[in-house]
Amino acid sequence: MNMDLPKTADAVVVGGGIVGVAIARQLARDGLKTVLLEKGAFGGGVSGASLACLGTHMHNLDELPVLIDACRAWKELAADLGDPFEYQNCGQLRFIMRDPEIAVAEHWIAGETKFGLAPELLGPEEVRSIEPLMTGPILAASWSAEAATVNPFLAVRALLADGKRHGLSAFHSVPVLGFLDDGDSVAGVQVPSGTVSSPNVVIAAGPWSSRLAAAAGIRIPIKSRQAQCLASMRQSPSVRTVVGACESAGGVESGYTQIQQARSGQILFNTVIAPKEVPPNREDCVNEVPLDFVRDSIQTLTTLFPSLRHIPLLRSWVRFEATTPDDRFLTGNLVRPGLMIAAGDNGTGFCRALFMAGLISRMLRRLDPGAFAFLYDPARFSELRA
Amino acid sequence: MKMVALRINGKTFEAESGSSLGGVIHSSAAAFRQSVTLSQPRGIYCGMGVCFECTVMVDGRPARACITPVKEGMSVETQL
Amino acid sequence: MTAGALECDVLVVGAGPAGMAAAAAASEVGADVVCLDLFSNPGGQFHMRPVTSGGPFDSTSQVAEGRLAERRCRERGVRFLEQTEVFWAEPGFTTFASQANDPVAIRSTALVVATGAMERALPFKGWTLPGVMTAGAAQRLIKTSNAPPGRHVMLAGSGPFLLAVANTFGTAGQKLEYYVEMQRFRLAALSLLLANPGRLKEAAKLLAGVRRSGAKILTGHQVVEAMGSRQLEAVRVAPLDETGKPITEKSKIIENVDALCVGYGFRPIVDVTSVLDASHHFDDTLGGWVCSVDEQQATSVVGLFAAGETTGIGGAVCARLSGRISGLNAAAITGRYGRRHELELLGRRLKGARSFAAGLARIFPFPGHLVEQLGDDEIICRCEDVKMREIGAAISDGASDVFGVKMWTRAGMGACQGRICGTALSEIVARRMDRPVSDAGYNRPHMPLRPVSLSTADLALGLVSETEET
Repeated sequence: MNMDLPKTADAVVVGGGIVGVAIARQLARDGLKTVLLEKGAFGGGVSGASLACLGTHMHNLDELPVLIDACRAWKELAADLGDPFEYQNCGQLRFIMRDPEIAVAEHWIAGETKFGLAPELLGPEEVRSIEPLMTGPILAASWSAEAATVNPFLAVRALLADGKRHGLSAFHSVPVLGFLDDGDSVAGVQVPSGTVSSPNVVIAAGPWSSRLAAAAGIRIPIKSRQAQCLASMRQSPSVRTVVGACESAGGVESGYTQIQQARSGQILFNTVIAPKEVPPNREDCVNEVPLDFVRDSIQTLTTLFPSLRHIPLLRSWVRFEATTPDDRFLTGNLVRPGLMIAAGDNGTGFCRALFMAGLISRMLRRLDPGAFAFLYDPARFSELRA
Repeated sequence: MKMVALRINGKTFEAESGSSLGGVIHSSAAAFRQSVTLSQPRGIYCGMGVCFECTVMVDGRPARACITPVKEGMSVETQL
Repeated sequence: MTAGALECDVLVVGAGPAGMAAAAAASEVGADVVCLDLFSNPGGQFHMRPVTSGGPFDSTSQVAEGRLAERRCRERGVRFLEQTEVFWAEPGFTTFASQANDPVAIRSTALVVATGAMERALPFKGWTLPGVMTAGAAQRLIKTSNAPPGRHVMLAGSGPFLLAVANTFGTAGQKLEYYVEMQRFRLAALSLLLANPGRLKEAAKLLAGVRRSGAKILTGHQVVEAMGSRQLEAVRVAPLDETGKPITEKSKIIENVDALCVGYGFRPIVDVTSVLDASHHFDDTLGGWVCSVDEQQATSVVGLFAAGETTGIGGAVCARLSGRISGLNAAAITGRYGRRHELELLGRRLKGARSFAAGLARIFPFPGHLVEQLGDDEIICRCEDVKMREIGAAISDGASDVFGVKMWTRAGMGACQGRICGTALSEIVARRMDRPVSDAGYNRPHMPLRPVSLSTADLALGLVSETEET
């Protein structure tokens, strides 16, 4: 395996999650000899644990044009590749249980409508016509019809396969230990079996990006945040949409919820009331879900969907989101020539992965990065200015 | 030897109290249910509650028949 | 004994020979002990209580020993929780369980895990047909429901457990038609028994029992296919060459078989010890992944002990001895001490028993190579209907370990969470990647250790006021 590791490449992408795989695929399609290095299993770090919801609703008004573009890219990709990753245009409901949230929802709806989207505010009976089993005590819900989900594992696999068809060389079980220096520039990477020289190295390692950047002498403002999820045994069709909580102006304290039913029939759900401090290097341990999280999640699900209270819980998992101070990706040049970054998913990275891939590719080939590149420019943080 | 009566798919069966529901069903039919995607017939495999192949509905809740002792008045539905 | 929040000095998980020995020992020196088990009566697999009292099994030594062990426990005040299945355990210790859908939470100072063993299953052509079951399942059917596995039964696979199951048929007066063992073990078994003369009588009894059953005995033979359209109807059997491979040209179909009971040995159940972060090691002769313990039966986690098959497949004698050692040491953690001299004596006897078990394991090595005979159309993961072809494709596409294969094929994501297919997946991945089986990875258990209804889980977790993770 490692004996096939090329000695040189036009670009090296470090990190085989959805972002790294998307970038590596894009670079290969754009004609660059690309090497992708993943320290573990492709998609096995964070991406596979994601609920992979692709939507524009209640995310970020500044990024809305990007999100619209990103969602369209996924839809087109699903069609182009013959739907290898269970693309489901199921729509998203954001439930409202407290009166002040109605005004919050209306504010989002107004903002999104300006961009040509069509979210609506629905009353409980209308909600039940879309989601019949959601008979819990909700006041209202916002509805965004074009939200979609994909199977995160199969998405990683499909993008990887497509990249390989265009000449991508991808290696699992290869950790990057350090970087090759050429004066101030980065000139490649060091791995256990040797080195790969390249004028372009892209760090797309999610929460591990901080460690990698540090090995290149750069401190980046990416911190890990623990996220978790529960899954039931297969059920007959019970949840038709992605169900979330209303995104309150109050931030994380107002509670984060996501409930959906996978193609397999398993119901995936989680509710986080308060975020948890993550001690250093937790991403490398096997972690278990906090028990108060389990209770909060079960209680939220069964309050909204009372008929599901006896279904069997089958599995839980923990993942780590890479967070940035302003909740936005770091995508672009990283201080030293030859080094770039695409990390900082903040829990919603799946949706943006294809957009980030396009952005990195354009920047790497010195093309016009587009009108929204500035949103993700690492140099927006003073410590990352060259 | 205390006997109890239970219903399986609407039919009444008699079995010794405390005996394994899996055994009662298996005596009548080796196939309990269908597999998830290929719909193949499946029956008892491990007999100790690990494989879930013998899952049936007991009084409205899913249960592994092999580790369920029969009780008077139990109502069982199998998929096959 | 019913559900709710309980406290005790020592919680013993599992009421088989090891668990009951641990519970009795701990309570003897004054510890307050709770012992829980999945089944309706204490005894585990080895001392399985027959459903009919006064029937042919009642007079067996196994059942008598089991009743005695249970009585010893109850006389000393051990509280038994039946039909109780652990779904989570927290350090310190708090153990959460479901008792027939009722919530249970048990706080204890020390924890002894004696969760026993499960079949070390390997797929073969046609293994998912109704009528094909494990050897253990056949034994349980006979004992717990008087139900014959079938009218024309074949027992097959490899290992000393097949002898025990054949004897179960005999004791119950049930007909066994074929006994198919992969190994030709006469000479090796003879030398082992000569080295352990105490076991001669038991071995002779077991062999006599097989002959009495009237079954046609085929050694050096292997099942290559279970055949039938909607359920088992016939079995193809082949002799093995000197390298242990089936000689397909000499295979023959044995018609009119309606129950095929297959066993290749056991593997330890290490779910509770895994989630409590105890150290484990891989030992193919002990069943695969095994909970590591020292001479006190202590794991790498303070206050957590393990005994019996959980610490390596060794049979009932090892289980009882290691169980007693673990119980005495668990009680010592809570400030109640036994006699040091007794512990030393038990330790020496356990060494001898383990040595015999190891000798037995060498005669019947685990046939992991059977995965090489699997065709592309064979179902590997029963829960999710995943075929060999899909697993091969995932590895070709870049899945590097069992976890990677799971992500891309769903093998191991179903109801049993990889407990049945895990052995085969490890063997398949190891061979494809040219790595040792221990490197290929396995499906680490997570919360919940067994499926539990949402309402039961919520209530059980709520029984304990502080559930904050450190």
